[in-house]
Amino acid sequence: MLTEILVTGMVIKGIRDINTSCNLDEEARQKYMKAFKRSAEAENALEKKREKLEKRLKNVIRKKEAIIEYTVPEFSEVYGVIQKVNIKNTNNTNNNLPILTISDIQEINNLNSMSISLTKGVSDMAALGELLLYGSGAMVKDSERYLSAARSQNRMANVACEQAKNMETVLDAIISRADRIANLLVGLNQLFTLSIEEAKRIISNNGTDVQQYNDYDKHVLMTCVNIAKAVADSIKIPVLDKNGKVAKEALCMIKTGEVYLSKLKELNQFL
Amino acid sequence: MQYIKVNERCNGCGLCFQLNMYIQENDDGNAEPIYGVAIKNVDKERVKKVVSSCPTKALLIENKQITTKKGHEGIREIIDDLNLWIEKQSVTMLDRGVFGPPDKEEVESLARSLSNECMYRGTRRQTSESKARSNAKECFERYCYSENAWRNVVRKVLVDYTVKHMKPYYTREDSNESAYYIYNISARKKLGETYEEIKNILPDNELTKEWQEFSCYPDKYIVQSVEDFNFWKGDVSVMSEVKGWLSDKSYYLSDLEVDGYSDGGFFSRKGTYWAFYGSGVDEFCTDLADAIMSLFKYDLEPEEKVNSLLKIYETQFKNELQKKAKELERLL
Repeated sequence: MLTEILVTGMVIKGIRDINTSCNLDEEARQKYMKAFKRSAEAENALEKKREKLEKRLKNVIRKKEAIIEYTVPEFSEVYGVIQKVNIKNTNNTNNNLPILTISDIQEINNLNSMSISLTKGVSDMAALGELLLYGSGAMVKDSERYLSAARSQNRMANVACEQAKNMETVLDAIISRADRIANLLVGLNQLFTLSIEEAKRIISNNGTDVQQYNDYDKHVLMTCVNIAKAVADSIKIPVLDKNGKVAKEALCMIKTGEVYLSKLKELNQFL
Repeated sequence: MQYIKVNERCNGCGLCFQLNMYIQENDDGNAEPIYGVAIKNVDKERVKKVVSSCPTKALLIENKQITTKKGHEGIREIIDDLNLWIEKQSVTMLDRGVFGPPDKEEVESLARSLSNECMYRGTRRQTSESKARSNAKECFERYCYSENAWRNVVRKVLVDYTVKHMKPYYTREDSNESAYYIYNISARKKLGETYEEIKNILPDNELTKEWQEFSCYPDKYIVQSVEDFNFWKGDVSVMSEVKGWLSDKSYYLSDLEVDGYSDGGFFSRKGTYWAFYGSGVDEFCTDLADAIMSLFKYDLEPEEKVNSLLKIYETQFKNELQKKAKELERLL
């Protein structure tokens, strides 16, 4: 009897132990699966963020290319005539707009020569090289530099997730900067295009004789040139510096550009 | 009704973004029309000017009209057109093998990670030859050969594969991360065009703007089977499939050798001995990697799993659209 009770007890204990072991195994399995999934999701999210970053950086380059390929050649035609008209800068046209200097004119000429090289079918890499001088080409490579990504073997899924989140925050900052520059370029390009159209209309009415130009006409032509200068400055704004970090000094340039753009939009009624 | 269309020539210059009620910027920076929004009469001149000034001629104005009839006859035609469109809708099924196998290098790297611990511990110096040999065998068993050692490798590969390939099919957010997003966009476009047409024929009808809103994603319990793909055959079944591909333990240990030297004299049994696995451990890791790759080749059929889910979604999608069409009957 006692033996039977003992044996039964041992069997029950044995079954319980196996059951506990199975439960623990199951618990361990679920923990592992959750940890693996968390880590895999974090990697996946980071990969998606990286893809988005590349797209947004390329977007900035495309906005710059669009200005250089299409808008600048239009401006070049107009600028040639404006120079012949020989309108002098006067302080009472609009005090908030920058006055062009010789170096400004050189920069606009640089933009123009870049547009010529692009239209001559320079290879993508050469064109990118040109844009590198203006701070944008480094972006695509630098986005790859920023890929630390959780490649660990998932022993520390929490650490991997945390690292991925931190990296995503960094990439988000770069994306946000890139979008801000892209929006600035789009805004300037829109006004630049309007301004060129209006300048063309005025030039076709008045020719190259400066006497034919009233104050409004002169104002339009000068504004066109000043926008060109602002565009040339804005195209120089880099997203990332040489070390692949968000360029702090560019923030000042962006803010200046945005203030200028908002003022131009107010003045748009005069165009 | 007139709508803006953007073709592949768009270079993303952004000059047309000023038409922000009709055009938006997509992730690539290109212009895309806001689907289902017809150009209002008051905006037509402005839109024409922007379209004509597009530097790459990527913008077009498209005329679309479902019916030329007026009143209830026109509404009837619109409803029939919508029903016909719904009938034609289908969800694209996946071809077998479209996901491809997992990354072989990654699988091999994971499998090889088992060997590190085994090599480190199994080749530790022991005081006798027999101890060195038995330590090496025990370490191989514990850190490589036993199921406890490699099953997490298998699980990790399955989970990574599921997240990488099947996430769009269990993502239910209204974003382009989800595989169902394109179907929702297509439905919104059609419903938007239908709504504009109805408003044009019967301006004072009772159809509200909310009618054209559409969001259809599978229920969570339906996508669970895809999300848990790594569980689908059962953990035990998957592991036994892998085990079936591995050779006997003795095969991997057949190259095991012990080297060392004795400390004392002829009768001394003490010394320093260590084991070499030869190519056994590496071969085991390679076999394990091959076993995992073969799971995807012969046993698991992830595309089938997704297709069964897509079939359910297709029915759900059409049902939701048919509800929308039925609501239009009230106008008659």
